[in-house]
Order: sequence, then C-alpha cells, then structure tokens
Amino acid sequence: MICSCGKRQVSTWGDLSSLVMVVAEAPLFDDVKNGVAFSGNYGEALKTEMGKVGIQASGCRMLTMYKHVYDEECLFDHENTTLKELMGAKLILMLGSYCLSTYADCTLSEYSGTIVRSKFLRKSIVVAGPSIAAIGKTPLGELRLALELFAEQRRVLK
Amino acid sequence: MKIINEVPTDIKKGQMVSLDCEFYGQTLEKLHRPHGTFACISIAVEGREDTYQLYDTHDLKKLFLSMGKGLWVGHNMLYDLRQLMKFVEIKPRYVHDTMLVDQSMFGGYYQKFSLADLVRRYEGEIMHKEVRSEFSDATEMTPEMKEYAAGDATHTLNIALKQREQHQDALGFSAYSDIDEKMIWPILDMQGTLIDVGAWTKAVKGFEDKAQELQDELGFNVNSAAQVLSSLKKAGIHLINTKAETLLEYADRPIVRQILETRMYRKAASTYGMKWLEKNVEADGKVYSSWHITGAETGRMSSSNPNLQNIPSRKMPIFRTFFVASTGNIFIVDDVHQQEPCILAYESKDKILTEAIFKGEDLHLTVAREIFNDPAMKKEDDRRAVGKTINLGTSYGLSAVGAAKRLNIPLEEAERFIQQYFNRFSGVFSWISQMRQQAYNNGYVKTSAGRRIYMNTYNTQWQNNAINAPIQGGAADFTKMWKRKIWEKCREQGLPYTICLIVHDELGSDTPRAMVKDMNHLRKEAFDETATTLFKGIPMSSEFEMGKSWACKSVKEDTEDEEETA
Repeated sequence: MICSCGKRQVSTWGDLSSLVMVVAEAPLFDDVKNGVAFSGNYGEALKTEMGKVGIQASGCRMLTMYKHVYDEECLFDHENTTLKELMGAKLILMLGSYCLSTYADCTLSEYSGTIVRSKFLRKSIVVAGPSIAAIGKTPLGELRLALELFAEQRRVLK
Repeated sequence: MKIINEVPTDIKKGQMVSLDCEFYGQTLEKLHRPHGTFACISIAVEGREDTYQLYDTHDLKKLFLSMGKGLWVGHNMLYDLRQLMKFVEIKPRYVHDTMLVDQSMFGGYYQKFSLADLVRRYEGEIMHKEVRSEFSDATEMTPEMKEYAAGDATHTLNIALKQREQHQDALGFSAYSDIDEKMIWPILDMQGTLIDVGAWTKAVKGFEDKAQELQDELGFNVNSAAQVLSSLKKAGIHLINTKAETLLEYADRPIVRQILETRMYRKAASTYGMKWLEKNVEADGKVYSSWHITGAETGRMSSSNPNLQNIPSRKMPIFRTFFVASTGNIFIVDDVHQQEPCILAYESKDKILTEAIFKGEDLHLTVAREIFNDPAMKKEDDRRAVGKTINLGTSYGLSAVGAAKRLNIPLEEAERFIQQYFNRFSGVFSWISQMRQQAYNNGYVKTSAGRRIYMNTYNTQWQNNAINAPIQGGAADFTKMWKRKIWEKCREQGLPYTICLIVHDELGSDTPRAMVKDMNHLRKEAFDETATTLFKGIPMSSEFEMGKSWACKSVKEDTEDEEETA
C-alpha cells in the first residue's frame, strides 16, 4: 500500500482478527525492504522471545505505529490510523517510548514492564515494553519482563 | 502505613532492617561526599507494618545500637553509610544492598538499577520521585516528604525480602556475598588523592600554548572539519571525514600528525583544564572520586565525579605525575602482570599457555614462536608483534579481518595466523567454543568466582562478549578480592589503609614512608591469597612501582627519586 506521501507502507503481520496486539513504533530497515512489519532480524528476535513465554506471534496482530520510515508530513495520520486499529483490542503490548508517550502519556523508563493506562484505549490492557530497535543493542531483561507480564495477562484473558 | 517517631526496639538476630536517610541541600554530583544537612532516617523492619523515622542525629547512636543484631538493608548503602558515618561510628558488618545484589546477579541482563527500577521490576509499582527534588532546597520536612522518605525504606525492605526469597540460594549470589558486598567497607575507607595543582595548572597553560603554536604553523583551525578537509585535499589527502580513526590511517604524513597532535593538546587543555581542578579538587587539595562497585556488566568497577579511570596513561602520562603522594609519603602502584592471559590459561587449562606462564616467558613471544613454529625466535624479532596482536586479541574474539587490519597484512595471512594459533593452543580453542555454547544455551557465562554475566545473543558482538566477559569479569573479581584482603590485613595489623586509586587491574596507594616495607609485604600476601582463591594453579604476579606520583617510572622526572627511594 502506498502512503499519501508517496512512500510504500509496511503491512500488518500475524492474525489480523486477533484482539491481542503488539504495536511497535516504526518499521525497521528490513521491514521496509520486505514490506511487512516485524519481518527483519529484530522482528524475528521478538517472535522468538514471544515464543519463549508461550505466545505464538502468528496468533497476534502485529503492527507498527508508523507505517513507513519517519516522515513528519504524515505522522499524525499514521498515529490516528493505528489508534483505530488498536481500538477494540483486549490486550496490547506497546513497544517503545514514542508509542507510550503518544497513546498512554507515559515514559518508557518509568513504566517498562508494567500495565499502563491509556485514555484512548480504556477497554484494553496495555503492557509497556522497550522498543524493538533496542533488541540487539541493550540487555534483554526489560523486554523479557514486559513479555512475561504480557503472557500472564493473556493467560488471564483466556 | 504509619510513621512512628521513635527508635525501633526488639530487633532479632538476622531480622531485616532497611535504612534510608535523606539530607537537605545536597548536590547530585557530590552525593559520594558527606555534605548537606541531615533531614531524617527512615527505618522499616521485617515483619512490621509501620515505618520508623528519626529527625535528630543524636538518636542515631541509640538506633544503631538497637539494630545491632539485625541484618541491615539499604539501596546503594555506600551513600547512606558514608553520610551517617559523619554522625556516628559504624563498624563494618555484612549488609544487604538491594542495588548491589541486583547488579551482581543481573549484570548484562538489566541496564538500570535505581530504586525506582527495582520497585517496578519486583513489585510492579511506579515510584514517583518528584518529591525527592524538594530536599535540595528545603529546611524542614513536609508530610509528603516524610511519606516519600518512609516509602523508600519500605520499598527497599520489600525488595530485599524478595531478593532473599528468589536469589539467596542461587549460584550467582556468591558474586554479591563473596565479592561485591565485601567492597563496601574498603570503598568507604578509601582516601582521596593529593593533586599538585601548581604543576597541573602550568602544564595546562603549556598545552594551550603548544596547541596554538602548532595550529598557527598549520594555518587553519584543526577543529573545523571543513578547514581540515580542504587543507588535506590541497596536500593530496582526500578524506570523507576528520574523525581521529580516519586521520590515524594517514598518521605517516606530517600534516596529519600535526593535526592529531594539536587536537591532543587542545583536548587535554579543555578536558583537564582549570574547570576540572575547580570542580574536583577539594579544600584539602585532594580529589575524591565516586567509586562504583559494579560499574559495568562484567562486574568491573568504575569511577565518576571525577572519573579517575579516564586519566590518560599512555598518550599524556604527564597527568599522572600531578596525582602525588602526601608529604612524607610514597605513591605505590601495583599492576597485575599479564592478568588476562593468566585468566585465559586458568579458564582454558591450555597446556602450552599455562606452561609458558609457569616459566615466566614473554607470552607474546611464546605465541609468535608457536604461530611461526620457530622456537628460537628472539624477543627483538619483528614477528613478536604478530604474537602480541593474536595473544591479546584472543580474549576479545579477534577475527581474521580484525587481525589483518591491525597488522596491516592480507586477510589470508591473518586467517593462517589465527588458524595456527588455535592449532597450537587447542585448549583455548575448546574453551572459546564452550563459552559460546554456554552463552547461547544459558543466556549467560560465569567467572571463576561464580558471577553470571548475561549475554544478548541478538547482539552482533555476542560471540566476542561470551569470551571476553569471563576474562574481564574474572579480572574485576580479582581486583576487588585483592583490595578487600589488603583492607582486612591493614585493619588486623593496625596499619592505615592507603589505597586511593583503582584503575581496573591497577591499585594506587599513598603510603607513609615508614610503612612502605610492611605495606609491600601485606599487599603481596593479599595478592597471593587472592590468586590462590580465584585462579589456583596459575602463578600470578604483580608489578609494583614506587615514586613521588601515580606516574612512578612512566615519566622520566620521577625516575631518579624512585631509585633513591628504592
């Protein structure tokens, strides 16, 4: 799909009907190249880590807040489109500080690995976690902490 | 939770008691130095719902007597103990430091270890620290400040209880109980280092003048990328940027050398200029750094405000001459000899490497001899440089590409050298494979003292880190244990504890002349005991130098004096 700015957008990955969602900030280099969110190395790493806590990534709806690389021109449109996609979700793993500040008005450093409140997503349980872009660069503890909480909430939902 | 304004009583043996003190008027950069006005101490006791809070320093003596049997708990206890020792005598004892426990247990797994981080991770709660900033300007406590202070003590106790439950019996806990916790008291007793401010100031002025003189000769501003690129272009050197590593590739050209030299003097004058002195040298003429027991994920110590581990040692050794011994004292510097190869030999059990260490051989030469299959190779042989690069590089997972670049040789040749190295040092090769396998399977590697260092296997460097971490971590464990033993022996023998610097495998001390002999004996004894405990069977040794300053023999001016001293 082509964005109004002319750039190619990445498509959402996984089970598009799932009410359990994973939202990251923006597609990474390989995702853009492949045209699919979470299809690059770090996306695959996230899927592996999700598997370790018993969550099949393919059973979740996995999307990015921005649908292509950063472009100020259409940021706001993307934020709104993604919010519409997220509405109705029962459980959301929200990855990265931009996502958290945009949708839950909180900082990653203070809230990572906890459940946060979002005034836009009142009916959803939102778990905060670190950016997918940090997977290969920073220690894995915070991501795993968030994933464990996400998995626990999913079990409760079931 | 109720706040009770009295000293807690009836503390049982081993009962956890958490302490947290607050001060008015403290500055963030100087938290490692006792300053500010006492605001309160909050105490939470295991099994009790209420929190105790005292506002008068006269109550402290009674408090510490009352808590005598308990297990003291705190978050970053170096801070609390240092501040409290200004008011009351506190004798060394085993303590449970929640920050240090997590740093020791989760090196490489988590990055941040503040109380708020631990509360979030252990309790799933968010700590809002806005009230904390009020202490800097306040002179009395509001109800919110009292509640905030009490909350810190309560959270710390809750975390300690969870840590005890979850980790105390875990194998990795020994890194805390045997190594890191034992560093708390020696750090608290560490001295500052005297600075020769006059000589420092003169040198900085000299650097400024020298930089200006060199720049005038060049005729352009060395810090302007555009000017540097254009001048180099005129000299026939076409570069894409002016970063040091790019320039270094052309260091054989006089103009490039002069640019690098000018920048070096300019950087020295700005980084270690008058501002450095004004900010860091205290009224007694000494600098007191903030030493962090586990400053890195491998367990290595670090230093800040100021960072004394960054004081140049090779490029500008003159700075070390400004860290001087006090009047009547001698500066002693101990350096572990070939520490990393020794640890590699211990870990890998490689026969050739171990044998070479036992024989006291020059290890770089040994490696070169093995690689080139030339047992008669002399130390002066140029091929020793290959041995040195490969020997040092092994513990960092040096690749053929890296070796080729460093040695400026074709890739195929570098591949052959590395292959030959592993053929000859097969124990090292097996150990490297084992470490990588362990890191991949378990998510962590361990040092000989049992410290776990977690790996991120999605990081492109993880295979190198898996080799380097047990060696660097082992070296860090060694330095800490050695330092602790020196401290213990000083106390036993009634000698002053004179260590004032720790830079990785190097210890610096400002020792009274009359005690040099005793101190040397004591340090040697402590060193041997540490080596036997951590790396049994490997004959480790330390090189020690004495002089007027930290530089000891590395700067000519000191040599004569040291010879006299010796």
